[in-house]
Amino acid sequence: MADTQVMAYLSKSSELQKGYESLRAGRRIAISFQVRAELGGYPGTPGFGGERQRRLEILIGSCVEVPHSPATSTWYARVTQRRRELRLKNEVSDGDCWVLAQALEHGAPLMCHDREAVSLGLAMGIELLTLLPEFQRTDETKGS
Amino acid sequence: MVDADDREWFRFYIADADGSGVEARAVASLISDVAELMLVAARKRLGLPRRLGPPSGTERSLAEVRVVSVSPGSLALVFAEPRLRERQTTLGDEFVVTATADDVASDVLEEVRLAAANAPVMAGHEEVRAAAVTLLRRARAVGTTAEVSHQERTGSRTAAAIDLRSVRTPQTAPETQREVTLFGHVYMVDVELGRQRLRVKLPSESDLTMEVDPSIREKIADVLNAQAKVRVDETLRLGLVVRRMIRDVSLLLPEEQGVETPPKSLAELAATQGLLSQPVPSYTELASAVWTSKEDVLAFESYTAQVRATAS
Repeated sequence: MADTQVMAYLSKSSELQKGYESLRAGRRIAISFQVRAELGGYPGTPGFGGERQRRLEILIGSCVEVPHSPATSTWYARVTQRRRELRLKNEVSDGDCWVLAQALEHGAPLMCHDREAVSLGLAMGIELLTLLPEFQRTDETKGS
Repeated sequence: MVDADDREWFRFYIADADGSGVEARAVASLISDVAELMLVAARKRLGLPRRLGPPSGTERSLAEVRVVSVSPGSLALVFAEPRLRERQTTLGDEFVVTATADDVASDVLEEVRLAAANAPVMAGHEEVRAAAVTLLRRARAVGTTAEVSHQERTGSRTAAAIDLRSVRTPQTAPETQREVTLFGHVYMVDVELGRQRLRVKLPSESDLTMEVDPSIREKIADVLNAQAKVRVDETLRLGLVVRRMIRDVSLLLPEEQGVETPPKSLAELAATQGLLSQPVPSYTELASAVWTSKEDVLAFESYTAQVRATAS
């Protein structure tokens, strides 16, 4: 699955494109209803519409759209509970929680580039695919 | 007096190249290092957690080697097999043989050989490797070459020649820890003296088998074969989970229960949406047609940050 921001990072205009393409590893992308709504809302902002809106719909149509289900609500409640426990209420939005909830619902890895959302996702056992530097594997420390 | 059970079983030999002899304290330390290495390897073989106090009877039964001869000059430390040759773990009426002293000695010999070759440390072998390196580094003060050998009860002999000059501290990546909360169906895997593990089947159908913190063992019965919330400490090295320890388990509260699995899997959704009959598209091409410049990407970043921030 991919979070909203990552969809733009798949563009060649982003420095992160190669990295996220590598993390995608040839797999088809699925997007939460939350991501779908956010992508769909973007053309409505000034200066973004017409032809690009049509291209955006093609991009969205190439992804598996994941609808809300009763299971989504179950996982959303658990994610928000964990958010409270970790005192991340001001850092992780409800939108982030819906996306994390659907990754849990489907047991799917999630491409995400939001530091706090990644932290919360990891604390829920989600396989997070991110290029954020603080979550990268570090080189081995040389012994003496 | 040496009886049949005190035959040579494990030998650690150091060639004393300059013939200057070996200090008595160094000999004592080397013997202690071998004994410690055996204990650590036994613990690893039995799957016991890191020891915090004196060795338990469980470890001693497999690893309490006895010195039967010390030959000075080129130092040869010869050990006999532990009196108890098999470790038998018991629980109630259950009786399970899990390892033999020969298994432990083989593990020790292999780890010493790997340590001498500066081979990467396998996950879970860190403590054994550290003990092996301690032994070899101390031996380096005595000589430049060594040989370790093991004579099994069956008579077969294994030996490894070691160049002590090449021994280095093993390369290890730093470990990090994180706490993870999981939801799943809990099953008992095994119960042994000093060890308990649970298996948690996640809604994604994947299974995780994890050690249980001894302090919460009394809670286990309450959650077996039930849906539960499981608090886990994960230890990571190079971003990979190398250990998991269950810190807490609890049955799901009513407000935490609910439907967990979606009505359709991602594959079923893809099929329903007519995507399976199409090849996976080039998302790079599709996204590049939408966000055609760095400014576009930056503007979208601002948009998503605003949307997510105001949604809370």
